[in-house]
Amino acid sequence: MRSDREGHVYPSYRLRASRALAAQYLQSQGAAVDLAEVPPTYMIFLRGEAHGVDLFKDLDVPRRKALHGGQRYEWYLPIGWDDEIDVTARVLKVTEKSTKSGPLWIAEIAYEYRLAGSQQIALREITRIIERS
Amino acid sequence: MLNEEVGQMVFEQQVSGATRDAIAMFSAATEDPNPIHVDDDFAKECGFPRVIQQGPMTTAHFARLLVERLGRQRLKLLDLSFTAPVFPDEALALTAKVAKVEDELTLELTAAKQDGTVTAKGFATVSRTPARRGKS
Repeated sequence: MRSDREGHVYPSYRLRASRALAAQYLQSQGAAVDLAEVPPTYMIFLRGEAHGVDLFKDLDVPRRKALHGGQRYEWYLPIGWDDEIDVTARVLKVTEKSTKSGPLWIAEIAYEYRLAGSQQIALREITRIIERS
Repeated sequence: MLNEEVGQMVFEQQVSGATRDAIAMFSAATEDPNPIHVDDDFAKECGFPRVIQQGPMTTAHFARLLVERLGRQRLKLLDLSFTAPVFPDEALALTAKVAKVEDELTLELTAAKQDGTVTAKGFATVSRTPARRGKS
């Protein structure tokens, strides 16, 4: 894992929630497909990959050695179906940890979701990617 | 009704195991290109016996259940660590329990398989109901 990517900020990209994808998202969880609101965790770092935030390639983490360590969501403002959202991803830190089965590397990447008009922050997501040795 | 007391269970909910089709659908819905969720051979190369469920599906379950129980406006923060893989058709018991009562409530979250293996743990922060704020 490339620790020199700490602090790297990716070019921002724009998203709008899709009702079709949200319906699939709820259905896959076995939940009622209620589209009154955008599901709270609909916005997810994975959507960045199609917009140039290819963490695995950029951090040099082979997918075969990668695990998803966790997620953190902080909600500030509601996101509606018609809102355009500007997303900026930043590599917060890369740390190495010793374990019984060898070293692990953990990258924390923060995604800020801002309402395109006002640029107010609506959501912050931190995802933790692990590389096994 | 949530009394907002330490130790109170907010929910203890069993969620059915996700089928392979549901896991594939979740990948499509989140635009996740990782083959580990849909390709057994790739999952084996990664050291797993078969495809694994996405950690974010557990996050999504917790968020949905918290919103169902407490309302969307009260949910402020959700932080989960994924501690063990979940395989297709493995049901999970999700619990949320009041751990701290301050200006906001901190809920302790745990997801576990039927054999007791903890697959995710973490916490959520939710705002207190206006009537209860300042009473503890």
